[in-house]
Amino acid sequence: MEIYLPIAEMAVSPWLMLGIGLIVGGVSGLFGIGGGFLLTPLLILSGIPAPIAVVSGASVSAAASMSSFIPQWEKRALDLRLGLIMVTAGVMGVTLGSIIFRWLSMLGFAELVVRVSYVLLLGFIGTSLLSESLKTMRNAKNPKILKRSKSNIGYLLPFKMRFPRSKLYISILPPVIIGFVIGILSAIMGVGGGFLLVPALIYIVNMPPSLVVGTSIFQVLILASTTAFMQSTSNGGLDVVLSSILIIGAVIGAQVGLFFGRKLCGEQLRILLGLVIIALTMVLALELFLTPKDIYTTSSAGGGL
Amino acid sequence: MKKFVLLLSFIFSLLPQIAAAQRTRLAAALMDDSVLLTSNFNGAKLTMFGAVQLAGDTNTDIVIIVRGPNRQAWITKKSKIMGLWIGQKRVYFDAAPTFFGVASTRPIDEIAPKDTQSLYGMDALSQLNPHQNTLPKQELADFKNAFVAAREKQKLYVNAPKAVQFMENGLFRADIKLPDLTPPGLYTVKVMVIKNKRPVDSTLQSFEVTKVGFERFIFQFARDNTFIYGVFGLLLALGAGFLSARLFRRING
Repeated sequence: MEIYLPIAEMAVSPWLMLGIGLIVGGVSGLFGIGGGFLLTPLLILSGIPAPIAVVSGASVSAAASMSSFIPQWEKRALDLRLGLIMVTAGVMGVTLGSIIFRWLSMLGFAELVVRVSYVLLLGFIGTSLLSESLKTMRNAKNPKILKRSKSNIGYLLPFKMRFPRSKLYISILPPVIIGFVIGILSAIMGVGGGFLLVPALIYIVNMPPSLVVGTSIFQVLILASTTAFMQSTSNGGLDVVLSSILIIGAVIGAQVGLFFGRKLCGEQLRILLGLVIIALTMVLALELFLTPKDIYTTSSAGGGL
Repeated sequence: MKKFVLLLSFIFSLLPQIAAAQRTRLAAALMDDSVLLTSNFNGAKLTMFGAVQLAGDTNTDIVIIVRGPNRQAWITKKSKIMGLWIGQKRVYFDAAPTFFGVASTRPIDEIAPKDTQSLYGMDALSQLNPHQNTLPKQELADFKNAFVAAREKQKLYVNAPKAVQFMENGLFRADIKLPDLTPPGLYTVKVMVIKNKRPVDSTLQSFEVTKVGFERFIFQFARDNTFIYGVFGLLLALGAGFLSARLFRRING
């Protein structure tokens, strides 16, 4: 059975799309990240034209993060004050990032910068997440040396502010800078940035681990919604039939992910996330070195052609 | 089937006139004058009937060219820079046919030489006009060939030798497949009679590919009310997320 997409102007298998939605939603619920970095490539792989895939990616990320956000919100498992500061800085970062991206594409360096920075950044985050978590797990048997290297930069910088929910009294500079940088990166790389935000909140802001997932989902929710709306009004690539199918899969997947997320402890979750990110880095790095299957790619104005 | 009978009787009624004429004469008609893109559309078959006077000599061929609406398109070529696949070169085509089908009685290259083919628009390659092109001739040809190959893979550019079949008395029938990617718009169908490698007669017809019902409504609404459509799309996403969270909390207890 196939279903015709009115905006993409092509027929797809709804079961395949539902499956993609489930996978992405599951990852989103499990790790508290948007899952856009998985969805867009998966859609392009299954033949959806890139402009449509990008908008659908943002719209599904918005739905999946909303679904994961509600339970976190009800448990008050987020620091709203810190989240709002980061979101504000994030939206400004997105604006600057779009300008940088346009400038890079004008110079013809966009592809180079995006691909290489992806590999470097993801590779760094993946390996450090994995090694840190493994070290902590090994040391857990020996509680005397249970100590993770955390940054105390927030205590040293000026403009201090009280964050009662996180029990922190830190400078607002680290969260502002993190939000801003992630905004820039998400505009340039086209991702929600949750996979960057989780480690940043843990290691740089020193936020209690119980609040990290909720706060990060909050940021992803706002950024993905903004991107989905902006892209669909400016490029008109939102296919509601496609995104409805993906969303149904994603919201169910998100709940399943959250369920399993509660069963795993923080370190296990971090190891898993590290492995996912490293696997993604490998795929991206291979793409840089291996001769592509199709040297030519075609696209066209409007719809799938 | 009723349509089919009507069509045949129409063509048969033309036969005496065709036979009476001195020069080659051609009549052709499409089975349907529209193709509807419904929610379960995954391709369609375009059927055409026609009649041509075969004035004794056997070297007569029929070539049918189905052409979809033009759209701006581009092709990107990846290249290696410093050992990494990060380079890209792009060629734009101002108006490339979205669909281009050639159906004939024999392989097109046996029917007419290449220059005749491009002169009369019988090959997709001659229909691609690059926008502000500065590339060397050979490289541009590579880009064009790759573009046609990509569209052929999507079944949008089709070459169907033997898709036109003579029945009897100069009657012929042709079946052309439209793929699931068939874009909406006005399509033209040109039927040409080729004798001794030259076109001697042709007819031009058209049919429309349109979205219908729900699909048509969504497409038009998205185009005419961009802002409301964007708000609606976002609310749909957020609402679905909210609802599912509520639903699952009830299930989980």
